[in-house]
Amino acid sequence: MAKAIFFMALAGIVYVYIGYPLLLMAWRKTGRRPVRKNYCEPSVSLVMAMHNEQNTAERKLRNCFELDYPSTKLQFIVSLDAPTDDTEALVRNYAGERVEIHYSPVHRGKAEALNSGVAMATGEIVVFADARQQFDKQAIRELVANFADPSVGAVSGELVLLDEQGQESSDAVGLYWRYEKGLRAMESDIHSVPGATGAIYAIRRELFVPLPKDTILDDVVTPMRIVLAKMRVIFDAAARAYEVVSEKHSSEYERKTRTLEGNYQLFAKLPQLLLPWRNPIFVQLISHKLGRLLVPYCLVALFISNVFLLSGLYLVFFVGQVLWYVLAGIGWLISTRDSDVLSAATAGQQPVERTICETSSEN
Amino acid sequence: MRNKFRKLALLPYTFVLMNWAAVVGLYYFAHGSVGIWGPTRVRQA
Repeated sequence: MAKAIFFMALAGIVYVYIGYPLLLMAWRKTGRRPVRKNYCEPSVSLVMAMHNEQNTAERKLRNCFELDYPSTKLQFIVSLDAPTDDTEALVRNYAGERVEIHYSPVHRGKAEALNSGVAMATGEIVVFADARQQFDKQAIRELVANFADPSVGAVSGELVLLDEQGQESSDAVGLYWRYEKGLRAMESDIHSVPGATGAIYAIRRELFVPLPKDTILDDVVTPMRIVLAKMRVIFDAAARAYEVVSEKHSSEYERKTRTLEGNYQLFAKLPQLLLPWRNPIFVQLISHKLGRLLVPYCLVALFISNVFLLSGLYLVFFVGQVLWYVLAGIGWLISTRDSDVLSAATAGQQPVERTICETSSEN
Repeated sequence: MRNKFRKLALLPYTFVLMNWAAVVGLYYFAHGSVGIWGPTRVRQA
């Protein structure tokens, strides 16, 4: 019994992190579907939902004005969701200039704010962005070029995580994110990615369906609805947004918690995703999203079953597991110490209020 | 050397943390989500 549990748990973990990427590599070799990209200039509406973004709103708007795209074809919409800081005043400085504002005096949540923003959109293509990340100048042009292919319904750009020196992050979170983007690139080549990057993604406006107000991951629900409508959701690494990642693992943990909570909600709200004859990327979704939700329980099962198998190679494996978790504990201590140092370094600076979850989800 | 060990330790820590997040995510989901900008998701950083 213990052996069966041990091998089932091990197989689950190995499949999710190693087997699935290998499967994608093989699949891509035989079933690659290139996107016919063409640099045209359709009208675009860039929609940003904001709550309390006084530290990022102005910088984001300036970044928007610097984008390389004809200004007559680019509409900026900021949907303000009852901000309680100076966000409204900052954004209103740009009202009428080129920014259209939807203001809600009632706090309704991001999904409702996005619904209101898209309702004002007139562009053929709607681009979604968060306040914290900066777009590359060519980002819009690269995103919309993919819509020349009629099979494409949505395009996710690439979020590049930078460290405080402005280099692509090479810490554990950065490595994880690069692994994630590798998977997305392969999934995109085969058919579609099971979710976009909230910091930068675009859809055909006619494909937008208003989000339920309690939606946690708009950047997964909207793309998956498009996949269910038999259109492709692709990933284009040429369309880039940049974000400086937090040194604090706790921030990443909060973000990941929200993402995974959102994945549970996704399966509850769109159960048809679990039907292989309805979902064209059933294998990808199960392997990538559902698999990640099940791995923690496989890890527990692996450890406990290994306790009952302490001989020969099983013992070696058990020692390896113990060492892994001891290292994780040391990592926790290091991370806690780093956070304390960071807090001490920033002590005395003006406190910054921010929503932990306004950042794109790393789906 | 010290930096390498730091990276070596942060890798399993991040792995465990991200997996723990899936368990906590299930807890939040089961107990009712507060939404992206709900009050419990706003912290002083």
